[in-house]
Amino acid sequence: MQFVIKRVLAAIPVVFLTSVIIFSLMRLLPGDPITVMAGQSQSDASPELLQQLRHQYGFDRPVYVQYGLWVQRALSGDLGYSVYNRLPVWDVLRPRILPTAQIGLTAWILAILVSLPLGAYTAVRMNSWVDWLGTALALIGAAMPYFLTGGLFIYFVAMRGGMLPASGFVSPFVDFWQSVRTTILPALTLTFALIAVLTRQARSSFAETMQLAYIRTARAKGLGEGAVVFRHAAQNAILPVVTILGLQLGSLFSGAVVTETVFAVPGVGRLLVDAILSRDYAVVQAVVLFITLSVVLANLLVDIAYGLLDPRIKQS
Amino acid sequence: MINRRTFLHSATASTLAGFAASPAWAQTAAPAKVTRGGTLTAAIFADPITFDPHLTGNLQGRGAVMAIHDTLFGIDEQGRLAPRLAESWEWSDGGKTMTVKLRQGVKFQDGTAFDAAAVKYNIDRIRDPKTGSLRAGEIRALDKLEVVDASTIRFLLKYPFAAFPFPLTDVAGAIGSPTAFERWGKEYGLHPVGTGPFKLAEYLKDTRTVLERNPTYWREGRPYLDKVILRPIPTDSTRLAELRAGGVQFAEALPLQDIVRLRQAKNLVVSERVGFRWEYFGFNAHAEFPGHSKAFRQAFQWGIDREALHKVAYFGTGSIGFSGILPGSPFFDADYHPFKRDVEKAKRLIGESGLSGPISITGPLQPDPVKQRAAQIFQANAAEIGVQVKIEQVDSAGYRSLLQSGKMPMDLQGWWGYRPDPDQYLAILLHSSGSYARYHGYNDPEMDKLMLAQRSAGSEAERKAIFGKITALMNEDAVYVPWHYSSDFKGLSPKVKGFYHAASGIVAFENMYLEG
Repeated sequence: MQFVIKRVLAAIPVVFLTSVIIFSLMRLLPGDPITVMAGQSQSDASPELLQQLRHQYGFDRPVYVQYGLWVQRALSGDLGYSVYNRLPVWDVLRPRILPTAQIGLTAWILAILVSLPLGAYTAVRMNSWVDWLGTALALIGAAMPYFLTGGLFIYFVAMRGGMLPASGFVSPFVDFWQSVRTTILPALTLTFALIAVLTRQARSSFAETMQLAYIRTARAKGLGEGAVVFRHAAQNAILPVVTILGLQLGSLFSGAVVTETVFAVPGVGRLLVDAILSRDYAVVQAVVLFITLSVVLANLLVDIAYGLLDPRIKQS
Repeated sequence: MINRRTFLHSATASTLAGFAASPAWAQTAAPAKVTRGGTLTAAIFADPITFDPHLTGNLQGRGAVMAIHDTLFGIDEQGRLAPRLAESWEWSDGGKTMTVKLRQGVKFQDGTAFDAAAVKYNIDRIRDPKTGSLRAGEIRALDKLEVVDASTIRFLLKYPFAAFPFPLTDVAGAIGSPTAFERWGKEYGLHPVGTGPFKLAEYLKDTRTVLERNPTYWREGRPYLDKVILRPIPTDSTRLAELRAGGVQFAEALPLQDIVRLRQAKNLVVSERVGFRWEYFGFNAHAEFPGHSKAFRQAFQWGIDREALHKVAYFGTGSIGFSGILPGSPFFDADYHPFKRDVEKAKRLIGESGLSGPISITGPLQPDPVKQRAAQIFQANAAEIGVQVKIEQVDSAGYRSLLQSGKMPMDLQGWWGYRPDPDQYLAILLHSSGSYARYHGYNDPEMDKLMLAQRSAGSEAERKAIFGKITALMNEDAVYVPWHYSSDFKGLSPKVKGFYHAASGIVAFENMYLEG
């Protein structure tokens, strides 16, 4: 318990620093939401009107004052107002969480289900054709950008094959099967790159474990290869993979930025892109806060899982 | 020069889609056989964001607002002002007063009556600084609004202004229910109530906007469709894939590089509308930039290769352009092609520019593939006449803020979208009080005189003659070097009928139906 509290306290400076960095970086970008809105409507807005709008939303105040106000409000649970969407930020962000979480978690679980057995198998059968194929796939998966993988899926599966919808998202509470259908392609796109990383990690970690003395002992006892790998080796070999799983959550979010745009999924990633382009400061700030908290939380869970998997960690 | 084939093509597309020789929106004579009912799903490029007519900005928002609200005026197929919620109008007092007769018996979707007081309420809301409406500038000429009786309203202008009613064909003239404005206040944008053919049934940001048939719509029998679903899909290729896979029956903003291929496709109708927007290279005429030299600017009129820009940047779609007046406008002059590429002449002008040493100029550029290709050609053309062009990559907000600062040495991606009257943007670009004129340091008293003359001119022919002079002077001053008229592309399933491709790019769903 003490460990959990310590970890939570350690997360506070991370969240704070991230918010300061994002806040200042956003203000360093040229333009503000008013510039964007005036530009988009191509109307002859007078300088007075633009000034009045800037004043109304407080963009004419010094940046540190704006930041102070933001922190004050955020601590009381108010994430501010989205100038571009003309809605409170929470109303903009809230409906975005489900699609991103559903697609991201599906991709994550798929990656575990594929890469652990594949990693273990290729570690045992090194240099077999499965190993070669696995390596090749991992390289392709790591090298293919999301928009290419996504584009290929859309072209072959959705357009040519007509098997799944090419875009959009349906909530499972509205239509469960349609929700599954809209989740598959974006989740596969995300998982492809994740599998590449995880399989390579699992392979080397299993390979290392298989050299250890206790595995030889297990084999000497006359255990079958399956039992040796899955009952004995897995427990050790899985540890580094779990670490990577936690770290990869961040990359799931960065992947979501691309896949959600390609598949027109109304998620957090697409919201972030639109918010940055429209300089919707409060939304960018809230989305980054959300992502930071998610990653911190995921890594906390990883650390707890670590403790459960490896009793030695608890003592240190 | 209008490419004959593109013109023919757009005509064919409109014929296919049920062209009728009446105002674009009206088509009073309904097509012989119309299938009623059904749902049309359309892939749009961006989310509408708000349905508040006075706060909306992007094309998608304006389109949805107009489907829900209806506007005071419309535009006919000849590009002229047409009745809509306004039945007729009359000018008096030397072009300073416009008296408008409103359609009677029209009701808002909440059952309240549409009348002159409602019109006044809406226009006053735009003018109220508290609203923060970006449309306020469009009706700047308005001095006073008088409700004469329930169905008559009088616009009293500060100065004679022939183009005044044109912004009222767009969202500035969209009329919402005053009762709903009072009830919802700032949240009206999510609870719009107009007199239009469709009601807002559901809105999920970035997912879909569902418009439902308004059974009390004042145009008998319209709309034909029960429902229109607008799905924002930001990626070009995905929008196209959805159209081809049948997930949607209509898609806007088709990617240019695919147009030629798509025209061959069997299960798809490509509609092109020339005169959707025009493109120019702009120069900053403030003293600290090379653009302060007129000869330097003029050199580009002769130095740029419009043919290559048309073929490479736009894949031969749209047409080469020499003015800011769009083809399709009653003021467009099809015989005006003043420039032919002449590198020697351009070099001579650079020599006369008074600029010494190696001349170099920087322009910001967004990551839009069309404008990237255009900028590269411009860069090569400029190098040939001894000018080095540096391209600086920025995003849209960065470009806008640089433009608005008045410190942008040159504009590599200048463009203006269609407006029914050229005054609506030419005044902004060319009159010394216009914002773009200020950003570019453009101030020509002769131009100011012409702009005012055109506003008070009595007839369309007179205005056309003055717009000719304005164009000639704009090209002589060369702060804006026009080079292209670009098209709007929409893709339709062959089942979709009744589509008229308006130059505004805004779709009148009320006339559309699904066959079979």
